[in-house]
Amino acid sequence: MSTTNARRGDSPLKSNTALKEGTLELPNELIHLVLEYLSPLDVLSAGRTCHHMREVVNDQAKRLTRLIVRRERTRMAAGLVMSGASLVGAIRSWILHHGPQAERSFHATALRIANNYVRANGIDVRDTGYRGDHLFFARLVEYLLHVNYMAGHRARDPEGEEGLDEYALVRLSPSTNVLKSVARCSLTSMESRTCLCLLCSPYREGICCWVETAVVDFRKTGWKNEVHPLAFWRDLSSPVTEILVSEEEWLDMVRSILAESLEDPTDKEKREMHNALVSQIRQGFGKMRRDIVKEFITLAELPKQRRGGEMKILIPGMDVSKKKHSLSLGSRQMACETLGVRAAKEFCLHLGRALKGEKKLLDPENRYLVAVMYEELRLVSGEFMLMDEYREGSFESFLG
Amino acid sequence: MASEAEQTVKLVSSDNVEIVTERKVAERSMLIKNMIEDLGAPGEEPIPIMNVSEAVLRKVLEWCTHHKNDPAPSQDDDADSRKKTTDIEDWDQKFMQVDQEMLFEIILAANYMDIKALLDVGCKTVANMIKGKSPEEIRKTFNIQNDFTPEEEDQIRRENEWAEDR
Repeated sequence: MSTTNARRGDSPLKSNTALKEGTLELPNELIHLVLEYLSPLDVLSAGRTCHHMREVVNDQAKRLTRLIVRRERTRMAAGLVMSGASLVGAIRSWILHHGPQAERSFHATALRIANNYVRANGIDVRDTGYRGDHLFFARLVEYLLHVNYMAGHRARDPEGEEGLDEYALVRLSPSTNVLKSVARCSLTSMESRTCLCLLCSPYREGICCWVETAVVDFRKTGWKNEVHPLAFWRDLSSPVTEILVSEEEWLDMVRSILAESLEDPTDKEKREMHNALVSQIRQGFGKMRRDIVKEFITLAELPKQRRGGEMKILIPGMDVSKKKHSLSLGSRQMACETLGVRAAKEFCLHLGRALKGEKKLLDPENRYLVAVMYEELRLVSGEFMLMDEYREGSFESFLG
Repeated sequence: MASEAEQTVKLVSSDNVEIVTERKVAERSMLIKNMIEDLGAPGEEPIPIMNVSEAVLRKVLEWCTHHKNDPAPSQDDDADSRKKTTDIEDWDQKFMQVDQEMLFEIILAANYMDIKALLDVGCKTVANMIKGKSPEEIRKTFNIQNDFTPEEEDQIRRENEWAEDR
């Protein structure tokens, strides 16, 4: 940045001693330089001194937004177990690596992340002036994860009455790549939205949007009139950015910052990541024989169920004899559209298995099934019923 | 012919005072460095520093003398400065213990003479004067007149409520 041609404007930042003579002042460009050394809060304080300073601060809206988001990103990243990925990547990994227990309740997971974050940083998330407690931050995390625990509860019976009037379920249509609000209560008709989540890049819109996400409840829990928790950061920066930075521009900015890689993982961290993943896999599949796990992972056909007692695999909701998944549409969608697809993909990729092109199970076009199974296997792993001879195999031998 | 280390240059302040200094000292200023390179014969032609008075120029040269052996700033340094710490080394802190008028003059001079490190020190010093202060305290420090109407103040206060809660 060249500063040699800074102009002297009608600057308020004049020295006290020179003010009387009216000769000395700092040009805006130099005030910007000064502001760059200040925290966003101090910048805002400076912006509150007079109109001119407010304009100067507003000039820096984009820079300030970046500062704020970057700061929050750093804080969040510090609270996560993982480093070496983008924040979004770290959160994804965190979820994956903390596997079965955490994923049983996405809300609990979000809370856990939030608590980690708070503990690690000594930050009280209440200090944003909104009501509440860590739920505030947890809801942001939930949104980042494309997960809403309420949607999880309610999607099992999406047509049900109870409590649904508080929520609008948002769903991305894969064919149109547009989020559609399924009306519940205040929203009485289908409504198209652009996906604003952070997990969707502008170029991959819809890839990870196949989820149900409650949006209206965010508004009801302290998100002002916003419909998505990106308002968290938006609000932080709004005093100086709302006029000058468009929503789209701002979102792009946030996305780009969040997607920036944190520092590369060290070998130790890579090893920890690997171990964490393997331990979760072991936990999920430890009681299964290698060939069964393999069958599962490669989407091969399930072994035939033998009612004579030789082998019995129970997958809840699955009627093997009819080769038809008998889950209700609601719960199937819920399972598919939450973490399952991603988890299954990452899980398979980790083991060098590609989903595409493998033998399909049941419905050749049902790319969600593996996710459904994956979810259910984990959820009910304790109830897995295998004959004794199949309990002998170990996951270690499979991996080995 | 004198070696480069022994060479001197003549600088002329805005109030027409000639100051002779080491070339190495003067070349902390990219403006002067470029001019010397353009002129090709340092020491002979006085170099006019149009926007800087004698008092300020001497002060700037004092800083340059102290820092004459500092490594030349690199691109990386520039990137590092983005980390924006407001730490100032002890000597610079003492150097910047001047009245506000001189402080601002130094900043302007550093900007004009393109002395990035001095400009950074100056900006950090001003930033430290703002840091942690309320708007009213900042106004008092810099004698800024509050030209907000009560309604505007109220609106801004609401906008910044989240900040005040901290």
